[in-house]
Amino acid sequence: MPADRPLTGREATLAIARIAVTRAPRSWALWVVLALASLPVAYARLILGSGPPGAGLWRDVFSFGLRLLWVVPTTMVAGAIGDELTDRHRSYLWSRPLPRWSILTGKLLASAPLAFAVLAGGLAAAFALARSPALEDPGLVLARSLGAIALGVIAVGAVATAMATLQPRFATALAIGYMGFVDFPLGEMPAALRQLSIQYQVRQVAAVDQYPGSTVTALIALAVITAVAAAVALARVRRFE
Amino acid sequence: MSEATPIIRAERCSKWYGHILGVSDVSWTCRGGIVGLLGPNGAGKSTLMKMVAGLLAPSRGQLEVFGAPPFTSADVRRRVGYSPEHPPPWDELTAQELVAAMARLAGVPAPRCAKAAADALEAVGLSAAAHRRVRGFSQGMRQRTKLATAIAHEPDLLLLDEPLTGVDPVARADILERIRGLAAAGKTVVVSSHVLYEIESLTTDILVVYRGQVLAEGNVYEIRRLIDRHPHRIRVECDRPRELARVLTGAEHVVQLHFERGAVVVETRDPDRCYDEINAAVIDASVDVRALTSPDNNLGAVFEYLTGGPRAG
Amino acid sequence: MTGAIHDLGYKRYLGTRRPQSTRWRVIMRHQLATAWKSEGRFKGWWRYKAWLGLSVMGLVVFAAVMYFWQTKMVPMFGGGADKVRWLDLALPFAEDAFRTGAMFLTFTVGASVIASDAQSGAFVFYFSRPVRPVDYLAGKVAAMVLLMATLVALPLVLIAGLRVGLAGSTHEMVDSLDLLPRALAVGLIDSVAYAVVPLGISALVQRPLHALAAWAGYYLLIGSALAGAGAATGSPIGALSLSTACSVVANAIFDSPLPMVRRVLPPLGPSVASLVGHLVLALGLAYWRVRQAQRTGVGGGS
Repeated sequence: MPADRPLTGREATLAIARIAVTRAPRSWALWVVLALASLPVAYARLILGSGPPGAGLWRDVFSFGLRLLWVVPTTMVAGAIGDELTDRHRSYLWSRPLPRWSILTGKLLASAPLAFAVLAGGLAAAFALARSPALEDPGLVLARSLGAIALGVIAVGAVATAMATLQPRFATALAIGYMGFVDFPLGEMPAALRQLSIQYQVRQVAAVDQYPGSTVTALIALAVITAVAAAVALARVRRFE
Repeated sequence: MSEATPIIRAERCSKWYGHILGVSDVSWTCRGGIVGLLGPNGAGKSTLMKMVAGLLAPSRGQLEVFGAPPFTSADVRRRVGYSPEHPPPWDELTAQELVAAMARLAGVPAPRCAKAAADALEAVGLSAAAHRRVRGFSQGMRQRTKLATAIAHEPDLLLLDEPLTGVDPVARADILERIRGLAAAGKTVVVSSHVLYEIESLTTDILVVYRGQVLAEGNVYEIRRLIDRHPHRIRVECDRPRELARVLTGAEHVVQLHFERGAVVVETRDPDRCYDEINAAVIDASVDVRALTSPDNNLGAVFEYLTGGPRAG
Repeated sequence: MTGAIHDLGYKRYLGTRRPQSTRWRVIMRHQLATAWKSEGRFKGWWRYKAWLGLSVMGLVVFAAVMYFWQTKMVPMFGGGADKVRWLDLALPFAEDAFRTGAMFLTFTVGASVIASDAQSGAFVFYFSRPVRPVDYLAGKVAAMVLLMATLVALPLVLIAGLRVGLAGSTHEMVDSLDLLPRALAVGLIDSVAYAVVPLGISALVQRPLHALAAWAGYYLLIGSALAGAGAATGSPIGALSLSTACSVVANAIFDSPLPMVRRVLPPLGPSVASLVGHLVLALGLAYWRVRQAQRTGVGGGS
């Protein structure tokens, strides 16, 4: 069966994504993140106590749930992409006639929706416990929260991809370290620097930050962070040998 | 691409890894058949192979495969099948899944990938294990899987980097036979190894790499003939070695003679002439010859003489 | 059973051999050397030297703050007329800050110590020699405690010393002398906790990166969930968080007033129990795993 022609970027992306989806249930990482996804529910249960949920409870639970951004998309994206950029996998993949960037896009296409589904499931279940009866439009609150998480997963995925192209062997550790020790403190700063934080912007989009700001600014900031990280990743992968 | 275009053409190629020189000023032309890429560990064989496979770009010089640089040309990489020294990736997949995925990534249309994988696995003798996960394979089975990933898309050029590492003797013989079959089917095969007898059993066309440079290329016997400073040794086992030696002593091309039990070993600068004279001497003196061998007319001796050190493997 | 070594130039060592009980020191020294190792200008510095550098910088910052703001007053949590000097807040704040450095070290070295040995096959080398599981564990624990102590205990003692030195009168200096043993005690408790608990996690997992991820999940996610739940509900469940338990014990030993930071901490009893429980569980897990490795690695227990 001769190969007729090299794969286009789209075909290569889909092929890589299909392989990643086939492999996902056979690896430990998926089962660990599924277990972690239950943490917001456990947290909500713990702080709920015996009384009805208070007005600020969902804000606390969502803020805790944001910490899953440190581990879930980073493990699934950085780990997966970092693996493909090690010598061993690169020897096989890059001798194939496909655009190098398609390895990144294919992995993202497979990992990001899965990461979102895991996080959204956990948070939705936690919302059912934690939503206050006083909420005017619980559907809107949930939709905003899940939308914010989706954007957060995309942004974290882009950052994790960039980390993986910078240091494939330690991609996961680097990405978790970045989210936990750079992005999180940045987001807590009472200064303009917090605009650089993904977690801060996600809280703004979800309207759960204690100092509400502009949703439009948050969306633009997330888009810029994603674009910069994606550009770094693409530039790195082009020069990779 | 015209018929005269070489399969691989490297012109003064060098490759640096930071301060480390992997390959230095290599010029080489390959026009087909099986070529053995020889050299000790760290000689630069894998670096050269990776450049031909399109994984690395030369730091300097030019490298073309089928008339175009493989690093930038996806069309060239489509026609190349590379089996690296690393074990296969994604070992949680079955052999069938892995080879089909690699075939797809090499450009085989999606509906044909499963059949391509099945055919490739059959060609390497892994049909029975096609639906087992690669993780549970033995070393020999992993090497066969690697070979299957390299041939599934029917490339025109096969690059096999240390294809027999860690493989038991039975599997080794089988894999070597399959490589010969692929070459017989018209593919160009470049096999790299530091184990000389493996290459010797496959081909007489070699490229010797040492410390990043090409020491010699071409037919191993031609290369041997060119190594003047090491006279050829010819061992004649016969009933009257001293009688034979007496006849050969006077020849000017004979450098040295010494005796072993029941044999005489002649060192000569002109082996062709020496063989003629041995024939004549045997007939004239009615010597009964039991064996006639050339202990250093082989790859090991060539390698040792070229590199000035003990033989690899 | 007989055995012989033929004379091929090998001369068996016939001198004195160190007693079995000193093996752990060899393992400790090797672990210290591994953590200290770096190649080239910056390669490998992230293992330990980077955090040591951070600790030194932190020490300088705290020293500067203590010196230049000796008389500055800070309002207590909840407002009101009560105030406390920055000078007196340095130690509890420093404990929190230097424990962060220890946390970084757990991610770069601590959480992968035993998993690295498991992955690389080092157990075969250890247990084909006269090394017992307890020797191995003692060496690893001692090394990690020492490394953590340089990041936590040593800076705390130096800050306590500076506090004593900055006393306004002889009477105040004598009164504040007890800060030195308290700082040492807090530093050692934190060092032991952050050395042993990641070691226990590391023992559960075969691969270093998986061990790191497991420790990150436990410390960062589960730990903060428990701490947050405890702070929100006022229940002692927060003591199950290692970080919170260490904070409570440190505050109790320093007998320090809570400053303007909004923090609700669990009581001392559950925190001490949590710390002890963490240590016992981690050491037990690590010993069990190493004993397993000894039994399966070289074909039998001895």
